[in-house]
Amino acid sequence: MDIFQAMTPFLLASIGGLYTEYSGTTNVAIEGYMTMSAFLFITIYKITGSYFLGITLALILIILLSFIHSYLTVKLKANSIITGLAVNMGFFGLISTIEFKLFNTKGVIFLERTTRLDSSWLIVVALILPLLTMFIINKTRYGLRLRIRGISKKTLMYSNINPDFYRISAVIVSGILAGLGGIFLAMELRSFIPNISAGRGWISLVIIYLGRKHPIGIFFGCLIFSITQIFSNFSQKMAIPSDIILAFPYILTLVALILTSRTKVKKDSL
Amino acid sequence: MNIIEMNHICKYFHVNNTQALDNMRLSVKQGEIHAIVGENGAGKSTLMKILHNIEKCDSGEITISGNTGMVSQHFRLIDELSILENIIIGVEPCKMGFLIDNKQSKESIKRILDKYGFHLDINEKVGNLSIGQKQLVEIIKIIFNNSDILIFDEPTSALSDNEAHKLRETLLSLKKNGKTIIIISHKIKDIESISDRFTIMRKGQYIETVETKNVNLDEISRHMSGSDIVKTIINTTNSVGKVLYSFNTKQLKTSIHENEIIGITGYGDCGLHTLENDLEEISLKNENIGYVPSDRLGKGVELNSLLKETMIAKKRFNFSKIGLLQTKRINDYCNGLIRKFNIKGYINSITGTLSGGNLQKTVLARVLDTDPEILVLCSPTWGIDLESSNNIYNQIKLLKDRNRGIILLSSDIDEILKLSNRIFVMYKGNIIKELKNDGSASQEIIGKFSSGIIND
Amino acid sequence: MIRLFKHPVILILLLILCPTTILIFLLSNDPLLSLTSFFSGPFSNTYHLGNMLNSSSPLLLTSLGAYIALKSNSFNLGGEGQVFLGATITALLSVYFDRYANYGTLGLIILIAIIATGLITWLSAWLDSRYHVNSLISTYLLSMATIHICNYFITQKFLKEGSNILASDKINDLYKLKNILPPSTLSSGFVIALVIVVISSFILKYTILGYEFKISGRNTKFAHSMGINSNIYKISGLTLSGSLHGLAGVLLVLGNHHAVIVGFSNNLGWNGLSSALLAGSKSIMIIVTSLLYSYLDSGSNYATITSDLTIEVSTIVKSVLFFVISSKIIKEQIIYRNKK
Ligand SMILES: Nc1ncnc2c1ncn2[C@@H]1O[C@H](COP(=O)(O)OP(=O)(O)OP(=O)(O)O)[C@@H](O)[C@H]1O
Ligand SMILES: [Mg+2]
Repeated sequence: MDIFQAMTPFLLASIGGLYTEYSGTTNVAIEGYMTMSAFLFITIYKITGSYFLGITLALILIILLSFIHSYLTVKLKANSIITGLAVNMGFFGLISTIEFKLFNTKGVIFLERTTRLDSSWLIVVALILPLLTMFIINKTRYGLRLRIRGISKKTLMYSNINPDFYRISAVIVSGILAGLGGIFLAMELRSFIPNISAGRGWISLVIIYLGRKHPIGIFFGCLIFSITQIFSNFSQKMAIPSDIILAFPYILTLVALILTSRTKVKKDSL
Repeated sequence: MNIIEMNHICKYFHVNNTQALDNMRLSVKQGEIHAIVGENGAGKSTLMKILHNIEKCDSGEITISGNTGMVSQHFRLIDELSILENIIIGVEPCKMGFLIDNKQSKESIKRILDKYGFHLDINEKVGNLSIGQKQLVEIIKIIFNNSDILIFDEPTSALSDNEAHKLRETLLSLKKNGKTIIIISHKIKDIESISDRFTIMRKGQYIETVETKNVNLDEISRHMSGSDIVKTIINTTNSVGKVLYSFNTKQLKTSIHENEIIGITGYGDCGLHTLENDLEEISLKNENIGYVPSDRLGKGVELNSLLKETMIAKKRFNFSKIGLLQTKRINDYCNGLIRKFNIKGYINSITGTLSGGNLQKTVLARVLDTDPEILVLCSPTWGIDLESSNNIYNQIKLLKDRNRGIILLSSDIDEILKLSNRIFVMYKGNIIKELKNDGSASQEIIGKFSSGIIND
Repeated sequence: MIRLFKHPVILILLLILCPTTILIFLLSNDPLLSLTSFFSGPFSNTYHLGNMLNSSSPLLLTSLGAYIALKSNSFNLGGEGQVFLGATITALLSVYFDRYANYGTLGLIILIAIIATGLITWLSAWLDSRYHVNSLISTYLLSMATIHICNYFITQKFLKEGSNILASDKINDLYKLKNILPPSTLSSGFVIALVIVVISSFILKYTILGYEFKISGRNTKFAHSMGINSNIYKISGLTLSGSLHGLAGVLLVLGNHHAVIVGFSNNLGWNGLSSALLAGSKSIMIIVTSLLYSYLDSGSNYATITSDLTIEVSTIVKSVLFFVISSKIIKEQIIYRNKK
């Protein structure tokens, strides 16, 4: 159970990021979306006291934000890496500003200690997600066109299909899923802390590559990364300095990347 | 009745200061095959892109009654996907509105295959197909799309003779089924044998529209280039000089001599491509062998660089002094090449903005100007207009007369017959016949060999 | 007049600046003061102007580094870590060998910093060509690992005692770069960075080396066909990119902070990447884009000091502005398209 819990935010965020990869770009704002939705969920929950409202309103706002983000990027023909980094930065500013206006703090927002938040359904969602995504990508019209958008925009144009729709929708999907990841983290902690995602968004991008941009590969990528995390939590009990432990997962991931790419030839011929 | 009316169409490209279309007009009748002809860079592709709503015009009126489908000059197929998936893009038959219905798609495609007599394994990846087969997939794709107006941008230029012939038959049967067809082509044969009318363009302007049956062959070619062409004649029975190089690849075992052109041809998937790869490897190792690739977009030019950067790529060391590039000399040299090969472009425009034919001219200019001892030429006049082809033949002739040896790989049998001293015919990956081009070789004979028939 | 409003660039500016202004009006009690101090602050006097230029000097180098990686067709996402490593090595070695402080030692220290950062990105490049490990990912991973390891050395071994921020001791006065515009902090590092960028642009544009480098980055197939060894250029491009980031870290210590501070890379890696992407095809544009980034940074700093604008609001404004700026790359295209 522990391992699935550790995997859930990674799975949600990286499968979400996979959609933007298919559409031919990289969503570097996943980190921002995770933090933003965690903040929105906790804030709305604290104000309304409703679990359901917290999730739905947070997701609706995330959809709105990711729509603005991708719509402007596409229509302005802006560089998606720059705008992605800008979104990360802007979210950080927005969160602290709103947090200060509402709660008069720039730090942690706690929920009542008695609050019970059921997050197990998100684990289930995360675990079905890779299979569901494979189905969507391979079997549906949306999936086919999304893949084509990533390979050749012109092909879609020659078939009189609006290529922008697929770019924009992919960013929205990745926003929603990263958002769910953030909400999951907030539920686990029963609070919002400014650095709640702690680099998980970036790691999710790494996992997409580790999994060779394939849903099942990503599943195993998340598994590997979660194991290294649990492993480094263990080593905390030994006398290794914490900074060194923090460096561990990155190095192990790199090693995993090298090892999996060595066996690449074998894998492909299967 | 006119199914298409385009009037006062203007289009200006600011990136390279080109007036691609200048008050152009076009009217196409319902159910006809309408050809569009004109020199490279005349604006034919741009006009069609505007018609198909991929490019916007700056001004002008367009009325179309019906929807269009277009096969572009460079293929828009996705190599990673299967034929089936490529065909259904845009009009995917679906269950419940989102689930792709493979069964129904297969049936519909089968019906089209049967109706027109095509043979394809629709589960095959497009990346594995030959150019001719890809062309076929493009055609099935727009038939499947159920468009009323079918636009073909130079569909025959990359095809071998029998494939081109089949394609023309297909277009005629499409016409019989009530489609309206627009075809861009530089080949007189296409225009003469299937078009009802053709429109001539020059420098983005409308010249005239002519009924094909009212003019004869020579007139057509004059119409296309705007002047009489002095045809280059190359002597194919001259005596050759000493041996320049002996090839010993898997397929090709022969020597090339001074003052000699060897032509290698074949239909479709006959192995010309593997032979080309082998010859490229040899040319990379050998300073004296020049190579004009058939993959002009990938290896021939660098699309994102300036035209002058593309042009000096091979000769770059001639333009540098202590590591510094000599800008003035480069500019003069490139301007010279542009003039000599009549390329429509500027030294500072991005290579990728040139029209298809002008790209090909750039590749040729770059290689021919290095004056190699041996030249490997692959489909040299692919997509090039009549006058420029003739100009290129002239350059080849000059090269040959300077005691050079040339290997010509081409699926255009006319071209092979026109240029080569010796002709090699390939079939299923091997050279099955070598013949002398002394009048005994003809279209029919080579066609027979290409189909694998060697019983005399 | 109405025509003017239909102009896409104007429209975009309106679309983006309106919300920004509204935001400032909502969140500030004296919005006009906030706005003016944001945009005119950096030019208000030599002090602020000098500080702005000084903060742009390491940024010039990281932009150049990111630019070179981009032109060799790889992404260097590890800028943050490389800058930090360069800074850490410089500061810690300077403090540790303070007894031997002279220019020779300094030269040696700088060399070590440059080589060490170069080695890290070289590793990424090598992994890419040998094992096809995407350098975009490996640079990021290595950089994150480096940051933590550097943190370890600073906090565990070299922490300045009695300080309220996590920082090392100050470096020897001998090493500090000369101030060229007192009272501001502008140091000679700015000139050094500028010279490096100009020379690199020259090499890229006017030499055969630059030519081969660019062609290899754009199209390996074509380069191979022309007899250019694109692999060497790809590897050296990424390596050089790392070294330049390291050098930026060196400048950060010698010219700006005079010590290494935990978690204080001034966002040099990310901003360098953005400004390199903005520069587009002309490398000399790096100077303009880097200055623009520093201008926005100093503007927001100035606004936080002089008005009631918080640092957070400034980041929002900045992030909105990045959308505008990066769309300006295509500004010309848009203008063309709509010009009849
Ligand atoms: N996207 C573009 N950007 C800039 N210039 C362009 C673009 N597309 C075409 N042009 C220019 O417009 C002119 C017409 O090009 P077009 O491709 O229509 O010619 P074409 O008649 O199809 O020639 P070809 O027979 O060689 O294919 C050329 O000079 C070309 O350089
Ligand atoms: Mg064309």
